[in-house]
Order: sequence, then C-alpha cells, then structure tokens
Amino acid sequence: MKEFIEHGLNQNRRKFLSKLSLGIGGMALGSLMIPGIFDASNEEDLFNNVLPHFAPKAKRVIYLFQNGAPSQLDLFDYKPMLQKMHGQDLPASIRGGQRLTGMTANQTKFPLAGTRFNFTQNQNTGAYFSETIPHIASISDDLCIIRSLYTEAINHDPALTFFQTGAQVGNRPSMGSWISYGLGSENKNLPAFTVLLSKGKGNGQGVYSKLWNNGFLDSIHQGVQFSSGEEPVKYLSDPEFIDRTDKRKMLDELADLNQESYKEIGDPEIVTKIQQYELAYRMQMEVPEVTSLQNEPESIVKMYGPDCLLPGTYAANCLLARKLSESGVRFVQLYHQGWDGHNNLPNELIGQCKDVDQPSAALIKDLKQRGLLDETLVIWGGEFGRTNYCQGALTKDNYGRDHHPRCFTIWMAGGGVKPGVYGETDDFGYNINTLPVHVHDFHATVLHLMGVDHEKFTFKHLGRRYRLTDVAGNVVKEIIS
Amino acid sequence: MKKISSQNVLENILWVINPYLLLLCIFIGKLNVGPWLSWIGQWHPVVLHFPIVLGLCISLYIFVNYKPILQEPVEQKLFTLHALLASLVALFGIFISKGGNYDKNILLIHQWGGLAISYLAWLVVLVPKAYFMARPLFRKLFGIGYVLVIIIFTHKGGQLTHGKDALSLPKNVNNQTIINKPDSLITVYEKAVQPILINKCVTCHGGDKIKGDLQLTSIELIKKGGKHGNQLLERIHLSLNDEKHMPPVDNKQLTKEELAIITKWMQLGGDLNKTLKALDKKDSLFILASQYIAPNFNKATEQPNLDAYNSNYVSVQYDFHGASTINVNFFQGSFYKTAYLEKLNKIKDQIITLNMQNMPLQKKDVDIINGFSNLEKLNLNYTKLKIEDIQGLTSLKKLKSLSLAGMIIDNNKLESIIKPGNIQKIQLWANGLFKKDLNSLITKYPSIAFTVGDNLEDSVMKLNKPSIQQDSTIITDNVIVPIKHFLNGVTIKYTIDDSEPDSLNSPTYTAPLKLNKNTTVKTKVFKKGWLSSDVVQKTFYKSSLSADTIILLTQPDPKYMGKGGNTIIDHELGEMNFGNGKWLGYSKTNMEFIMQFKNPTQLNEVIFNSLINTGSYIFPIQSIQVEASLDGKTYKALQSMDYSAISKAYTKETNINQVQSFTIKIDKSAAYPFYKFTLRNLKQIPTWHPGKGTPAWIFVDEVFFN
Repeated sequence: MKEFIEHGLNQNRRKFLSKLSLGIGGMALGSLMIPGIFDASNEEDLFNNVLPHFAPKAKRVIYLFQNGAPSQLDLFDYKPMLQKMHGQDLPASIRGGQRLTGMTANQTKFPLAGTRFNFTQNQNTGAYFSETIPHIASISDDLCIIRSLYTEAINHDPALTFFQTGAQVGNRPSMGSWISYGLGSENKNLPAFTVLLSKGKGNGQGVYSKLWNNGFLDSIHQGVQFSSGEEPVKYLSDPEFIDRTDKRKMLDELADLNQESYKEIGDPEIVTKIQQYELAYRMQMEVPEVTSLQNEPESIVKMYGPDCLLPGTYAANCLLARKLSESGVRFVQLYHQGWDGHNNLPNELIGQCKDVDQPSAALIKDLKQRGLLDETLVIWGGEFGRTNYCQGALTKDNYGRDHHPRCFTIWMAGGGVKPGVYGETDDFGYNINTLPVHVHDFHATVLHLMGVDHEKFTFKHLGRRYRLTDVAGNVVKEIIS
Repeated sequence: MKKISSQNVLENILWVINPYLLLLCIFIGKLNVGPWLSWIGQWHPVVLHFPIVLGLCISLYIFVNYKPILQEPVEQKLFTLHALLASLVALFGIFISKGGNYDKNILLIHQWGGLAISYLAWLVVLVPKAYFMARPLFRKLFGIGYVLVIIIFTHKGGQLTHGKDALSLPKNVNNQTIINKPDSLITVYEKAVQPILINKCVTCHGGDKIKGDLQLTSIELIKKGGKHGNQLLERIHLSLNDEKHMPPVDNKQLTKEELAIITKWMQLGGDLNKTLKALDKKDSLFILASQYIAPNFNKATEQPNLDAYNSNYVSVQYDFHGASTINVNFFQGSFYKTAYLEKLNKIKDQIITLNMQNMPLQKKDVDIINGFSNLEKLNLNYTKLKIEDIQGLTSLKKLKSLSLAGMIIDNNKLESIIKPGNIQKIQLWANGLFKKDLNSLITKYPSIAFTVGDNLEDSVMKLNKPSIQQDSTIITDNVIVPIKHFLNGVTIKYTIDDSEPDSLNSPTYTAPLKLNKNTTVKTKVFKKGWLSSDVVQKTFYKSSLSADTIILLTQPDPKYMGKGGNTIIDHELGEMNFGNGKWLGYSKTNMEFIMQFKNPTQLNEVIFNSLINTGSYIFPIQSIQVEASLDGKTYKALQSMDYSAISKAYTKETNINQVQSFTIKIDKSAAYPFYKFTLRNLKQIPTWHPGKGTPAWIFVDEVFFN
C-alpha cells in the first residue's frame, strides 16, 4: 500500500518540468494583460494619483523656522519653580543622567536659571507668554501651543536636518519636497516649495541648502530659494535682447532636443530639466507680481512693521510668505537665524523677539482677515529647546542656556489645528509630564492635516520604501479640530 | 506518439489557468479590463453555481468514501471538471470585480477565497486517490473543510451583490428606509434623526450586529439604551481619542450639524411625533433639520477627469481622492478671462470652494458664480467688485464662508449680502467701514463670525531707517551717494554739515548726493501719520593720496593680520566684525609701520580708522606719533597726539562698539618719501573691566592722508 501511494506521489522531473512550463505560460499570458507588471516606478505613479488620501484641513503650509532654538523657558513654558530656585543646582534626580552637549558636560555645577521676564496668561486657553512677545500673545486665541515636543538630536545641524527631513543625516527629501511630490503645486506658475532666509542679531547657526533638498525625489521638488534684493529668484530674468516669443521658441527647440536625448539615454533628470525650464518661463511672469511689496496698503505695512519693506528681513519674508501662499505655493519655508543663546541669552532674546514677534503675529492676522487662515497651516518653532540650567556665568538677570532636546515648545495656527495648550513639562521644565510629541509625530500630524496618511505616503529608493516619518510617527489627534 | 486524452488536455489547462489566476490576484491593482473581458466577467454569476454544487457533492463523496460509487476515470474526470469550473469562475470573478463598485473589504476576502477554492479543487485532482484512501482522518477533515471554505467564501460573493444582509435571518427593524413625506408632515425624527442613525450607527447597533446591547432602531430602544444604560449623548460628545467615543474612530464620524441635530432633538425629550412644522422657524433645530439631506451612500459618485479644466491660470482639483467635491483656484489676474469661469459650468454642482482673489471680476462673472449652487466657500478678496455686484449672489444657499477683503463697501448695503442661516463666516477687511456700523452688524448677527482685521491706518508707528547705499566710504575723486527708503510717499531729509536733519530746514533728498571732501551724511525720513525715523549717518573720507608701500615694523596678532601691511591702504574699510580679515589687530605691542611714497610727498592730515569694542577688550588708540625721513634711516619727529583721555573717561557702565577715526594734523611739513607711525595701545586695562591689568587691543583699518 505504501509503495502504491509513493508511486502516485512520484512526479518525475520531466513531467514536473513540462507541467511547469504550462504554468509559466499562464504567467506570461498574465503579464501580457498587465503591461506595467514588472515596471517598478508604476506603483509610485499609482499612489500619486490618489493623494490626498482624505479631506485635507490645510491646503498650504507656512513654516516659520526659528533656527538656533529659541528658549521655551523665556517665551512660552513658564516655570516659577526655576525663579524660586534661581542659582541652585539642578537636582540629579531630574536630570537622571541624561546626556548633555560637549559645551556644558564639563560644568561642575548646573545652576538653575529662572527666566528674567514677566509672563502673562491667556484666560481662555491658559497659555503663558513672556513680555518679549506681546504681539504673539495678542493672537493667542488662535494658537495651538504644544509644550511637549522632543527630539533625538542635541546639536544644531542634526536636529535641524531631523526636523526638516525626518532623518538626522542629510540625504532625505525635505518636508516641503515631500509635500511638493505628493500634492504638487496649486499654481502652475510658481514652484510648490519655496524657501526664504533671514538673520537676526543673536548668536546664529548656519542653514544649508541640504535642508530644502529633494533627496531621492525628482529634483523639480527641490525648494526654490527666494533671496532678498532686486532679484528674488536668481537668474530668472532674461537678458535684455531676448523677448518672450524668442524665449518660447528657444525653449520649444530645447525641449525637443532634450526629449530626443531622453529617448536615447532614459535619464529621468532630463525630463525634470525640461519641466524646470518650463516652470522658470512661467515664473518670469508671476514672480515679479508676487514679490512686489510696493503695492501693499499702508495698514499692512504697519501691521507687519515698516521693516517688512526692507528685503531680507524676517518681516519682509513673512509678508512675502503670505503673498506666495495665497498665490498657491504649497509649502513656504522660512528660516530666521540667531536664537542660539549660549550666553547673554536675555539680551539677545529681546533683539530676536523684536524682529520676530510682530511679523509672526501679523501673518496670522493677515491670513485670518483674508479668510485664508483656516486653509493655511502656520508653524512656528525651533529645532530643540534650551536648558533650565545656566551655561557659563549666572547673574541675577543674565544667563545662557545650552541645547535641550528633551522638551520644547512650538506653536501652530490655522489649517485644522485646535487652539489651546497641549502637553506639559515638569516643574523644572526639564522632562515631559504629559503628551510627549516626537518629531516624527509632528511630521505625521502635519501630513495628516494636509490630507495625507504618512504611512501610505512612500517612495521606493535603493530597494526600500521611504517615508517622511521613516518607520515611526503617530498623528497627534488631540490637536486636530 | 502518445495519444492525447481529453483528461490530459483538461489537466494541462488547469496548469495554465491556476498560476495565471494567482498572478492576477496579486497584481489586481494594475489590471485593466477591456470591454470584452468585462463581458466575459458577466458570466461569473451564471457559471458559479455549477462548481459550488459539484464542490459540495465532491466533499460529501470524499467524506463518505468514494470507492464503490464511481469508476476511477469518471471520478477523475469529474474532479478535473470541477477544478476547471472553479478556476474559470474565479477568473470571471476577477474580471467582473474591476467593473463594479463593490465593498472593498468583502471583495478582497471573496477574491482570495475564490482563489483558495480553485486551488483546493486542483489539489483534489493532483493528489492521487490512494493518498486520500490511506488517511481516513485527513480525508474526512478535507471533506468538511472544503465544504466550509466553499460556503464561507461564496457567501461573501453573495453579500457583494445582494447586500451585507444576504441570507441573514429576518430582522425586527422598523422603518429602515428614508421617508419621503412633505415637509409639513414629516417629523424631526423621520427627516433628520433617523437618517443619521441609519447612516452612521445602526450598522453596529441594530442591523446584523447589536453591539453593547444597544439598538438604535426605534425610539423606545434608543431611550432604553444598551448595557451601560442610555449613554448616547455622552458617547458621541467624547473627544475622538477617547476609547468610548462613538462612532468608533475608524468609522464615518458624525458631522458637526448631525451632532447638533441629535443633541437638540434629545434635549427636547426625543419626541417621536414632533413635526418639523411645529418648531419655531428660528429654532436652531428647525434650521439644521430642515436643511439636512442624508448623504446617499449607494449612488456611485461621478468623477470626471478634471484635466480639461486645469490651465496655467486655473487650478481645479478634487477635494481628495475619491471625493466628488471640487476646489477651484484662479491665479494671475492679468490673464483672467470670463471664459475660464464659464468653462466650469459643466461641473458647477461639484464645486464647493472658489478662490478668485485678485481677479478683475465684473458683474457677468458674478452671475456665473451665482450658478455654483453648492458653493461653501467663496473668496472675492481684491476682485474690484462692488457691493452692488455681489448682491446678485442669491442662489448660494450653502455658502458658509465669504471673503471680501479689499472691497469698498458702503455701510448701508453690507447687510444686503447677509442671509440669515446660511453664512457662518464673513471676512471684511480694509473696506472703509466704520467700526460703529460693523459693531452693530456683529451684534445683530451673532451666529456669523466676522473677521474685520486691524485697521491700522490711523495708528502711529515709527518709520524704519533709510539706507545709505554706498558701500565705499573713501573718496578718491568724488563719490555718488544714493539714499533709499522702501515706503512709498516718505520724505527723505539729509544734512552734510554735521547738523541733525529735521523736517523743516534740512534739504530734501531728490537725487543721489555727490561728495568730494570729508563729509558726514546724516539722513532721516518723515511721513504724515508716522513718527520720523532714527538718524542714519555715514562718514566719507577724502583720500587724495595713496602710499606705495607699507612696511610693518611690529607684527599684528596672527589671528588679525588681514592681508598684511597693505590691508590699511586697500580702500576696503573694515566693518564692525573685527574677525573679517580686513583689520590689523595689536595687543602685545604698539603698532609701528613705515609708509613709503615713490616721490616725496607732503602730508597735511592723516586719519586712522579704528574700532572700539570694550566688550571685546578693544580700546581706543592711546597716542599717535609721526616721524619722517628722507633716506629711510634717520627719522625726525614731526607730530604726536595723545588720545588717552578718551579711554580714561570710560567707566563700568561703558559698553562701546563703534568705528572711530583719529585724525592727526601735521603743520608746516616738507615733502618726505618716508613716514613712520607709532600707535600706542593701552598697556593695562583699568580695574573696572573684567580684563583688568592685561593689555588692550587696538584695531586699525585704513589710513587716509591728504
């Protein structure tokens, strides 16, 4: 009986192979019917057509990045305990042996530094604001303040890169590039992702173009930097002797040539190049209209402060950000340098706030009075926070603060966030008590507000799928209205 | 040649069709089905009954014991036929699935279940009968299992076509349909509450499932509540992240309006017979309920391709993937044409937001917009329309938000655009409205959120400083100095005589200044309604002569040695940043250098430009001594000046960071080719300074001489 069964089970090799060939034939038939079956890029195209995944609350983002890390303890996260214990050592139980930067790791003492500034509290939301930012305090009913952000990096460059790209090493696409890739531009005459830089008088840290790089995405998604001065976009205007019809003709011819070489070589960057020339051609018309601040009414100038007409200032960039955003730019990224207060922090902070306070608040008010705030997400914050203990010499009213990644404050407004105060740090402002929000969570939430599921939004590169949030991140539902 | 039996052919077909089926199942997302295949797919519901019946019989046959009934070849043929039919049905199923609008989750289960049936059926063909015979337990299990697989997965198919309730037991559900009664008779419950419950609640609470013992199918059952009692109101009001929130997070949520309807109705006691008509017309429940239209989930939403509507100046996009609602944005007003707007008429019922800011609109455009009857958000900022024009927007019953920033509005007419009950938000800004009139509107319409913005026209603010746009401060022959301010309509005043500029007496800037001697330009801007700016000043130095060589006798600190001796005669002025390589810095020694002219030159005046930054230990030059020589070997003293008084005046409060020039005049000198300068630094910083006792720095860049 056993032999009988075994005989039945014995498929000889020839028989198996001949049957298998039929199976392969079946597969081949299938592949004929599904033309793109072995085409790797097809899948990305497929998802590209399905964004946004759900109804977006925010259509555009303006990210006011405060580069250098503003001190949350002197702006938003009011800690009377620190004032009470001013000069006393940070209890070891609070620090819990967590790492410090090389700048203060060798300090023998960690004297707590209470803020020098007075705080006011908003009665509706309970939010605290220091006296250095009266304008921001005045719009606090519109602000969603998260006091419990935390990050993994402790130094500027990795922390900044982490915030912008979701990774500490600088080879991933920037947040704006992801948005540009996923949602595209609303206005075909402007790039979907633009970058504006300004610099305060405080201790500064550099920003580099890798922060608005497209990474492995198509280079059309790179952030376009608008610079200060007569020519906001470099090399955009034509030489005098070329008129627009000539230019059109030249671009058409050039596109034909490029198309031919694309057929021959197949490098997708060639197609990108054609698109970039086209975009630049259309930008020639739109950019001067958008970037001209001369026609803004005087009350707008007063709202942002008269510095807003001075190219390259933070105020001018805020005003420009509004103009770009209302013209359909998906992601406007500002950087304002000068928040790195390792010493002489209070005095530097006053200067920084003078630059930033009024224009930031004006931007929110301006969007609101145009009915655009509920579809535009404005984000204000740095790459990490600052320590509750003093770096360097501590006096009654002067101190410095080192980098502190374990808790810091950012705020958002508009675009589907719920005004209020979220998260809480301990009495020392050192660790988070409730609602910890990781940078990945922050990214997931911003994408969510844009109608994008951060887990589905991927790009395949070098054999794996990448996300802005890598393999982590939870949407912070608490802050979504 | 072996004879080809029909059995062989059929088995070979199975070998082709089953891997093919697997492939299609995996890549179903990429499959495109043409008209012919979808016609073939139509046979799925027809053919499927054969393999089901055959399959059930075969299961029974295997289960019982199949030896005595059929002869082996017949048996094998039957099995093969069954397997083939099962595979074909599965194949048809895949084709038909691409054509219809089915529940995705059920479809997925049905699809893979169908594949499993095909493969199990194939297994019966492949595995020799003797194998089954030798293992009675396996045989019985296989028989039962196969029956179950067939029943479960084909039932899913039944649910796809006949609804989720296919073949479920009859239920005790009242009035599951949405009632069409005239508004005069319809009750609040029938009109709004019930449809909401049916759409969003009864799938779990009342239909085939009764979760938490709660049924929301009749008013008695609603009032009775579930096993926790009546928690309906409480649960639907919990925050979304609360575990007890209803409906559960992944399900369709109640909209704000729906939440309000249920709440208000329950608060009224949940009266089943309360008609809509009996409510006060101003009652919010009346307003909400009378406008409520139950979403029609069964109707497939039409999604035409929008490419044709998009252009460089108009962006037309679905709200999100799968939505039928459309958002429209217009860009670049200078290219606007009414035709772009007219083109949207074909999709006008789907448009919910329309952004036309900065477009030069006219009355005829407004008429077109008025046809977009489902519009919820309309942006007419800076459109050059007048209030009379937008009074025509009478058909926009669903409009919630209207933006009119930049529109000149006559106070009396504003009210005409407000239709109570519709609009929730109005943005009015810079409209020339008086605050008083606005306030009366705001109190009159408390349900509308007005955003009026800050009108800062009248607030007084300080002007920012003008900028002197000439980087070079050295006048060789003459220099052109433009002054600029970015605000329109300002008056720029300036002086060149060291007096403070004022609005009355100082000259008004009209064209760039032309300077040819040592001059300090001071400028300030004025404008009506603003406070005048701070004074900006800049000093320009005449440097008519130029030295040929500088020989440094003492070396500057290696960190601050610039480009060596020539740094101070390169006509590039050091700025406030002393580390920028344009300065020569000394602390350990005095600064001593020789300046050589090819031809003997007479010097009347030498100006040293120097930095003072007490915080960085940089103090003023203490003294300057000038010597001259004809041969470069023996020097005779010409002049010396002492400036030590400047730093003696400094106190603990001093915090100076500025560039200062030190001028030394030489009387009655002859022409010399060689001049030697000695600039003494402060040897001991005074005791009030943190750097007390150590030598102070001096920083020098540029020496001018005339």
